[in-house]
Formats: sequence, structure tokens, C-alpha cells
Amino acid sequence: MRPDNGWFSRVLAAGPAEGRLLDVFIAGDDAQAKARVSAFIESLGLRPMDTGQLPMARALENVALLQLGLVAHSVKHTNFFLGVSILS
Amino acid sequence: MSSITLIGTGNMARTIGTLAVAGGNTVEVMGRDQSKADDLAKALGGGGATTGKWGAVPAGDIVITALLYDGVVPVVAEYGDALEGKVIVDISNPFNATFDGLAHSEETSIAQEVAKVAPASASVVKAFNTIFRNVLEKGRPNVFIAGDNAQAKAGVAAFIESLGLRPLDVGGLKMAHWLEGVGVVTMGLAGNGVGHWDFALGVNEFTG
Repeated sequence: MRPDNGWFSRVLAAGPAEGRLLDVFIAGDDAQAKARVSAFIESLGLRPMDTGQLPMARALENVALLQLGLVAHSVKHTNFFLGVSILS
Repeated sequence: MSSITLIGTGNMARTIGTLAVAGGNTVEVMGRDQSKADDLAKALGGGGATTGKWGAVPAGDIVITALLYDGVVPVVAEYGDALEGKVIVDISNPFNATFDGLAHSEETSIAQEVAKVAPASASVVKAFNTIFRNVLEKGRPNVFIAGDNAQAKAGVAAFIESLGLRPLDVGGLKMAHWLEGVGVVTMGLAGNGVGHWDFALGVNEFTG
């Protein structure tokens, strides 16, 4: 199991952004383990987002670096999270 | 308004070309198969789309390689000096066979490999690769961009804004490696937690 490590603690503490739950990306090979972690994430008031098997952990670490790049080059603050926006 | 050339005649070329014409940009299409380039230019319409000869100097200042990932580096090498002074935008996703990792094992990216074969006077920008085509057609996704040349990135950012989309600079060209990784994550989400293709990853800001 590998919950996304790319988070800023303030974001986690801030809760929903504009009424949207924060997304927590997870990856792992064991469906039962993922279900338990998902339930835990939901208990925190967050939205678990399964990205697939454990090899995806490597790509998830890329997302973390992307967030740092956004802070440095365009967003210029840490009051944001990367999330899934579904087309309405 | 920007002047762009699309190298490639597939679905992404069609989608970006359609948005580009609608956004008031000048659009040129180049295809190895000239008849496909002609067809696409006609389909884009708006009086804004022309075609150029494969391998010739592109009319656009911004050249978007709308090709499958394994075609991008060879085509940029084939164009060679024709791309002098151009801003080359790589939009590709080098997925591995199981779509859960990158096709290249080393810590590089298609965009960085493009920069190695492009003329020294050209600049390379990675953009659009984290967005599914259907979302680009129907939605308003964030467009992440990476590149080493600030002026080139500013030009690409202005082009993205002309499409009604928000460009978000993530840093230098080596960040293209991480953007390609984010492309992998979007595939994982489509196949698992989200379960469909109608979504995009984006920045959600809040008041701190």
C-alpha cells in the first residue's frame, strides 16, 4: 500500500476545498488492504482514489514532485491540492 | 494570437487544431500522408488552417508534435534544421505495455530526448500530456507545461490561454519526466478509482 506522500500538511488539515473533498491517491496489490485503507481515508472525510497496483507507486511519487513544481513556478502558494475533476 | 503547426494528423492533432482555430490562431497541418493533412486542414475549417509539406520549415512559431510517443524523437530528428528557432511542443505519453509505468527505464522523458536531437536554437516544451482527448474536447482542464526557456513557455502559455484553458508552469524541462509519470497516474485512475475517461487532474485552490 502506498498512500500519496505528496501532501502538504496544511492542506490535509484544511479539509474540503470549495466544497470538494480532498483526493487521496492510493496504489497497492492487495484489494482487501486497499479497501481497508480506503475506509480509513473516508473516515477522515477525504476521498480515496485507487490508481491501481503497487508499481503505480512510482508514478504517484511523480505527482508529488509535480506539486512542488507548481508551488515554485505557477501556483506560488501551498493552499491547493491536485484532484480529480470529473466532467459534468 | 499564435501561429502554430501541427505535425501529425491523428485525433490529438484534430482536437488541438479545432480548439486552436476556434481560439483565433493560425494553424498549419503537416502529415507524412499529404492527403490526410489536406483532409484535416479542411475539417478544421475557419479559414485558418493550411497545410505544409512534410519535412519543410513549418509556418508556425509553435510546432506541436501530435504523434505517438515513439515517433516524436525520430520525426524531430528528420526535420532537423527545419525546426531552427521553433518552439517544439511534445504532448506524448510513453506508456509501457501494461500502462502502469513509463516505456523508458531511465530517468528521462520524450521531451528531454527531443531536446537532444532538435536544433540548438529550438526550445522544447512539454504540455497537454496529462489530459485525455475527450476532456480537451469537452472540458476546461488545467494544462501543465514544463520547459527550460521562459520565453518559449510564455508563448505556449499564451496559446493555451487562447484555447480558454489555464496553463500551469511546473518548471524546467526535466520536469517533463514527472509530467509523463502523471500521465501514467491518469491511466491508473481511469482503470481503477474513477473507472472512466471523463476526468482530469487539476489544481484545486482554497483560501488558507
